[in-house]
Amino acid sequence: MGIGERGRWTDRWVAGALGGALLLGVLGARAVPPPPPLLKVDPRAAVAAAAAHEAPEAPPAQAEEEPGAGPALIWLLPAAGQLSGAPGAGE
Amino acid sequence: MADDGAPRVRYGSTLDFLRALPGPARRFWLLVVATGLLAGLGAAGLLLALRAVQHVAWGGGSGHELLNAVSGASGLRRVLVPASAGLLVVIATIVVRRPLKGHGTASIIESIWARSGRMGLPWALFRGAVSITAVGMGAPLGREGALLSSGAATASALSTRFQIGPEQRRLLVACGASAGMAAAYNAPIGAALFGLEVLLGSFALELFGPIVIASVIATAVARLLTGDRPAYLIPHYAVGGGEAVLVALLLGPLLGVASAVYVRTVSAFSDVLERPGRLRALASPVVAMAAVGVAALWFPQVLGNGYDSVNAALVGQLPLALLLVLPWLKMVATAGTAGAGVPGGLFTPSLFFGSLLGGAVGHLVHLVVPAAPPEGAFALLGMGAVLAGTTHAAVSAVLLIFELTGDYGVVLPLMVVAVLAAAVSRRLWPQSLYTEVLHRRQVALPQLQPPSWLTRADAGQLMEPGAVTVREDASLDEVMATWLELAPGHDIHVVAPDGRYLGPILVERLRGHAPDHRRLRRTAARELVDHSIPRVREDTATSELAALFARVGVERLPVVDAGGRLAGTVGKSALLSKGLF
Repeated sequence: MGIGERGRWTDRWVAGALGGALLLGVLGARAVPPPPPLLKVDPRAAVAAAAAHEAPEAPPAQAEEEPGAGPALIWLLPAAGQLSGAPGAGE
Repeated sequence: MADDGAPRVRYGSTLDFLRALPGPARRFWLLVVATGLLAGLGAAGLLLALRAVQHVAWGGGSGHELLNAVSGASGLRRVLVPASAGLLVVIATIVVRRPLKGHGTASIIESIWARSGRMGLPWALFRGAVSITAVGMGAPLGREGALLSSGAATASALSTRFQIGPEQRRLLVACGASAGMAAAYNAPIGAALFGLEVLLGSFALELFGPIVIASVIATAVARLLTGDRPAYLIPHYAVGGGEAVLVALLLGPLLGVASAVYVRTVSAFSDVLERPGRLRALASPVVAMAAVGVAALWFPQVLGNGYDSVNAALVGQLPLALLLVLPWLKMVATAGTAGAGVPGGLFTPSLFFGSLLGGAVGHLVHLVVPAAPPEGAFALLGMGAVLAGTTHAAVSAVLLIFELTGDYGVVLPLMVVAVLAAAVSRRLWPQSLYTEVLHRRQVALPQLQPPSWLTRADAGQLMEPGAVTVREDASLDEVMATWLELAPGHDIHVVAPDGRYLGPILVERLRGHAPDHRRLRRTAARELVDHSIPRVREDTATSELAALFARVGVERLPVVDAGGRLAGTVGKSALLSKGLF
């Protein structure tokens, strides 16, 4: 393989790999939780602060909706089969 | 005992044994031990440094828990930390005024084969420190690059300091690299085999001893300092029998193709990003690492070594979507950052690629055949297949996977997938992950010769057709007339009327016989045939030819075909010019 020919196939290969990765990434991103906010406070501190200000009789359903306890925390679980949108979710 | 000339076999202690060795040998064995100790200490130090960097960069995460720490980080942090690692590489490149790129193993092979084992220790340590920092900050590369290079460079520095010969220096450098790898993965057997198969290209016993000793010492030191556990923790998978063969036959070729794609992608990115251009050289590490950071917004698994994801795949805990997407994303991320000049290993990323692809195949198979072996077993086999396919080293791949996971249950299909994947990958792309780099740099590696009995050279290739023949009833006058016309070094061959070959007449060997003048006129050619000369077939190996020539002491041997007819002759000079016996 000549130098020019090698240059051509490497260009095509790299373009194909980058394009493929982008396409796969876009398709795959639908199956994972949305990205975290650009800036976010420490979720543990946020949960602790919210718990400190919350009335003791607050229903548990509301506690689940606290910021920081949503997708970002679910995402921490290594058992990613439980992810929303992922196959097997909600089983 | 030594006085009577017999080799001494009994020694009171190791020290006694060392004292009895000749000076250079004693020095070499002491350096092997020192290399193992220093490589183990260096590896432990670098591993602890990696944990510290991860802790500072991502907060809380250390060791095998990087994914949790990254997942808890904000979006900005996921982009900025890897981009900063890219910036660090750029600054380091400017400071030392030479590129840091490369993944260690190829440079070690180059040093052993083409530079008499010379490696610069300060440079290797600096590059190793930058590499470990970059990997800790999220570079999708392996930590092992730094460990192998520092082990090999330590060995090289020791051999220069204590003035041992170039042959021993080469071997000691391989010892240092294997010791670094053994300490990195807690895998002394696999690392020793890796050193022999990949770095030295030989399993000779003379090489095996020093490499094993250095690997064992380094592993023991690293275990003492960083803990003793397999690199990957998995449940025991017992896969054997018919289903194992089916799984191996499916996975081996499939992952062989994937391995060739992996090697080719890494090579293509390096090719494109290595093209001249100062701005490109300075900008590409930051751009590549920032791009990896952006991908990590959705897929934090692409950052770093990837241990957590491989562990999850090995226990079958990753969903199909991630198993399908992550290997390819990680491959592009690894190829892009390595090509852009971020120093780091390609070994661990290839384990990630293989285990997740294997897991994906396992997941898909399970959708069709629910009774198939567990998905995690597929991931384990995939890891071995890609390791063998990218390094072309099937033996060490099997041993390494066995040690990395501590699971012997899948050894049968593992051996099959490793051999199949290596064969398919080599067929599709002749270079391995390591030799590809050297090939691109136009470093000529000596071609390793297969055993002589495997060489394709045989009598048929060396044969000269068209030997001079006479009929079996030819008279002595005819034989002598033919002999006078013969070219020097050739013989007369006698054939029967049906074409069957009867043998040669070696006129030189007739000398010294007392002639019976009454019978001379009636002598026929068949009576002069020398039956002591063996005839060979076209497929007779050159090694066999050499042995025959040594025994018989003639210049040419007749070659016959399957029907017993003379096909031609093979000469001693043709065999010598081939140079392979």
